[in-house]
Amino acid sequence: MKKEALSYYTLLPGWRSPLSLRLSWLFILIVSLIAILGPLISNEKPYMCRLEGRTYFPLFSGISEAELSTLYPSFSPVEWRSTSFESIWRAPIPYSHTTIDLASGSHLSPIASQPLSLRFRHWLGTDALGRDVLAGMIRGCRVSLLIGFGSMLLALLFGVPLGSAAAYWGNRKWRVSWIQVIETLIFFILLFIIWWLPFSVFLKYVLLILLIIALAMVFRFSRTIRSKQTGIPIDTIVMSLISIVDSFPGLFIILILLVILPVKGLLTVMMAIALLRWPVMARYMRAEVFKMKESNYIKAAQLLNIPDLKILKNHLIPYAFRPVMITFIFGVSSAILAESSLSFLGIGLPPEEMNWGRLLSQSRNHFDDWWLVLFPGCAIFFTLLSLYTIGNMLKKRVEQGIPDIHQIPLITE
Amino acid sequence: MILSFIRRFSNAILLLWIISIIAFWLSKLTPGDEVMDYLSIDDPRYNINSNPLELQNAYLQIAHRRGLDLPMFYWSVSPGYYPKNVNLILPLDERKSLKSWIDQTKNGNGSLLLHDQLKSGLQTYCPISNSLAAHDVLCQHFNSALKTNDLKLLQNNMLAVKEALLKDTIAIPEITNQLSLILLSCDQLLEQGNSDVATTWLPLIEWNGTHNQYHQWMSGLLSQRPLTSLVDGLNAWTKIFDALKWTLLLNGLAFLLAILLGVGIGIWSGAHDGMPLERIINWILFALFALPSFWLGTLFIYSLTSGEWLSIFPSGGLGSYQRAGSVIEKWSILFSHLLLPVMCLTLGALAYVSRQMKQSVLHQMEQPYVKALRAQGISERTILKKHVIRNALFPVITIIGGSVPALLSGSLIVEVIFSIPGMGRLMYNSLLAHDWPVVFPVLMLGAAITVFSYVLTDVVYKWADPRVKTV
Repeated sequence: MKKEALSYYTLLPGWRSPLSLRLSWLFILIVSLIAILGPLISNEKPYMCRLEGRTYFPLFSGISEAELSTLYPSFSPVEWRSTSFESIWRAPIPYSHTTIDLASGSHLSPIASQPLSLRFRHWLGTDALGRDVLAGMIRGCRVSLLIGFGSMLLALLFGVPLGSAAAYWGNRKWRVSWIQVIETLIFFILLFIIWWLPFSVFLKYVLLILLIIALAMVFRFSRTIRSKQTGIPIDTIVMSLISIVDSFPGLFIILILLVILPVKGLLTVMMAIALLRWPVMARYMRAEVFKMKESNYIKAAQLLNIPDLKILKNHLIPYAFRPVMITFIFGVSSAILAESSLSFLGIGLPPEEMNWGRLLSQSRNHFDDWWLVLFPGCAIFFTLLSLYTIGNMLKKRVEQGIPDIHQIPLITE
Repeated sequence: MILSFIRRFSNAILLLWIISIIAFWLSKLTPGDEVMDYLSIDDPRYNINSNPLELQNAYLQIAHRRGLDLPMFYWSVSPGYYPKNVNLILPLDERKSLKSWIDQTKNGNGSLLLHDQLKSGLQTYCPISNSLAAHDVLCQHFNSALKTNDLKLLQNNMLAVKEALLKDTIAIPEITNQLSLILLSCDQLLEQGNSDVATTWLPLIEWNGTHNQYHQWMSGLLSQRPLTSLVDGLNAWTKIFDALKWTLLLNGLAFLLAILLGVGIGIWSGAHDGMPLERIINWILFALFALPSFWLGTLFIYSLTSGEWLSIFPSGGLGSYQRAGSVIEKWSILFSHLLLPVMCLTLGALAYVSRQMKQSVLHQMEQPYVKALRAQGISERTILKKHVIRNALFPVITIIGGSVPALLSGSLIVEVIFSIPGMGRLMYNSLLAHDWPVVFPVLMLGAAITVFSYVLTDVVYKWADPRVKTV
C-alpha cells in the first residue's frame, strides 16, 4: 500500500513558497537555535580563564567565583568581570539572566552612555533590578519554546487518543457484555476497599497486581458466557469531559491552579496549559477520524479483521497527521501567548526564572523604560506572527493539495 | 424547537453542577487553614500566639458557625476507626501527628485519648512558669511529644522523662502518675492497636443528607447568602456585582464593536478578494491577530497616556466617575477611560471575526447557487446582499458564541493593565491576596456566563438556520 498520506513535505517551506513563510521559518529557526544554545551565548561564566598558569573552564565545569576565590586568596575576591585573569574567553554576552549588574545599575537605557566598557555593554539595557535585558530575552526564548511545545505535546498525548477513540468507537461500537461491565464495577469497588484498608503499601501493591490478574482471568472466562451486550459510550464520556474543560474561562482556571498547586516550576505551568488545551486537539482529531472512518479503505480493513487498535494506529491517526499538525502549531502559539500572559501577571513562574512576559511586566511599574516594553513585546509578537503564518500556509496547502485518500488504490502490486 | 431548547438548557444546568463540584473541590485544596482565616476576620482577638485552650474553643465555635465542621459531600467514605472532628484540632502540627498516630495504630479513640492526656499535661504545667524549674522542662517535653509523628519515639521519650524524674529527689507523685497514665495508653495503643474488627476492616460509608459543606456552599451561592471577604470582612457579593457590571460593559462594547466591524470588513474583503487594498488590510488584520493584548495595552499606556509622547487619555482606572455629577459628565469620563481598553479587547477579536467572515463569504461564493444567480444576470452586488451574506453569517454565529470565554480571559489582562475594577481584576487581586471566598464565586460566575453563552449560541443558530439537526 502506498503511504501517500504519510509524506511530510507540507511541513517544510519549498523553494517557491512565499517570502513571508520563509521568513517565518527563519525566525522560528533562529529562536530555537538561541533557545538550545542559550547558556553558551549569554553567561556570566567565561568559557575559559587562566589564573597563575592554570586553566579553568567555568562554563563547563561549573566552578564558581567563590570557589576560585578560596583557591586564589591573593586575587580574592575573584570576579568574572575583573581584568586580573591572565587570559579569559567570555561568552558573547557576559551576563546570565540572573546576574545583577551593580556597577551599571537598574533602568539603564540601551542608548544612554554606559559606565562599563563596550565588551560589557548592555545592548538592550537593564531591567528594574539591574539584570541584562538581552540575557533575559535569550532565556525567554528557551522558556517560551519549552512551555509552548511541551504543553502542546502533553495536550497531543491526551487529545489524540481520546479524540480518535471517541470518533472511532462512538457510543455503540465498542460492545461488551453486561457481565464484563459488572465485573469491572466489582473490580473498582475492590480497588477502593484495598485503598482504604490498613495494609502496608507493599501489600497494597501486591494485592493490586493480584486483582488485575484476577480481572483478566475472569474476563477471559466470561467471554464464553452468553449475555446481553451493551455499548460503552466513549464518545459521550469524552465529549462531556471536553465540555467541562471548555466551560471554564481559560485564564481564570489556569491562574487558580497555579496559585493553589504547591509545586512551582515550568512543568506545572506546562501541565496547567496542557490541561486547558487538550480539548482542542481531541475535537480536531475526532472530526478527522469521524470523516474518515466511513471510507472504503477503513471498511476494507475492518472486513479483513484487522484489530481496531491497529486500524486506528496504522490507518486513521497517520492520515490525520497534517491536519493535526496545523492545530498543533496554532496551539503552540496560543500556549506561548498564555505563558507570557501568565508571567506578565506575575503568576506561575518561579522567581529566579526569566522570560519575555516577565520582562514586559516590569514596565507596568516603570513606564519610562521603553526598552522593557519594546524588545520583549516584539519578541512575543514576531514569534506568534511567524507561527501563525506557518500554520496558515500549512492550512492552505493541506486544503488545496492533499491527495484524496479515497482515490488512493488500496492494493498496489 | 422548544423541546431541544429545554434539553440543551438542562444539559447546561447539569454541566454547571459538575463544574460547581470541581470548583468546590479546588476551593478545599487551597493553601492555608480556612477556619483560621475566618477566625482572623470574625474574632481578631485570637491568633496563633493566644492561649491554646481559648484558641481551640474559638476555633471550634467559628468552625461550627461557618459550617466548616460538617462533612464535605452528600456522602462520605472513611475508615471506620477515624473519629469525627479530627480535622478541627489545633494547632496544625498536632493535628498532623494525631492523624499519623491514628494511621499507625488504626485506633482513633485511643489516639484521641493519648492526645487529650498530653494536652491536659500541657495545660497543667505550661501556664505556671515561675514555680518550678522542672515544670518548664516538662512543658517542653509535652509540647514536643504532641508534635511527634512516630508513636514509638514518643513512648521512648516519655519513658526517659519519667526515669529522669524518678532519679530526681523532688519527684512529685502527681506528675509521675500522669506520666505513667500516658505511658499506659501508649502501650495499649502500640500493642493492641484496634481490637474492634468491624471498625478496622470495614470502611464507614455515611449518608450526610443536605447537611454538608458542598450543599451549604452551593445553596449559599444560589441564594447569595452573604460571603465574607477575607481581606476586609465585608460582604463579597457587593464587590462581585460591582465588578460584574464593569466587565459586562467592557466586554459588551468590545463584543459589539468586534462583530459589527469584523462582519463588515469580512464581507468587504470577501467580495474584493485579491485587491491590493484588501491584501493590505488582510495583512494588518493578520498582524493584529498575533498582537498580544497585554503588549498592545502596555504600548497604549506608554505612548498615549504617560506623557512620554502623547498624553491624550487618562492613565488607567475610572478617574472621578463616582464623584461626577451630571449624566453627560459621567458619560464623558466613561468614554475617555474605556476607549483604550475597549480598543485593546476589540482589535484581537476583530481580526478573528473578520477572517472567519471572509472565509465564510469566499466559501459561499464558490457554491453552485451563486453561479446560477450569475447566469441569470443578477448583479454581483445583489447576489452578495441578498444571498451570500445571509448564508455566510451562519458559521460566524458559532464563532461569536465560542469567543466568550476568550473574551473573559482577555478582559482579565486588559482590566489589570488599565486598572478597571471589573471581574478579571477582582479575580486577580483576590487570588494574590488569597481571598478564596471571592475567587471561587467569580470562577463560577465566569463558568456560568460561558455555559449560557454556548446555549444561547446554539439556540440562535437553530433559530437562524432551521436545517440544523437537533443535538
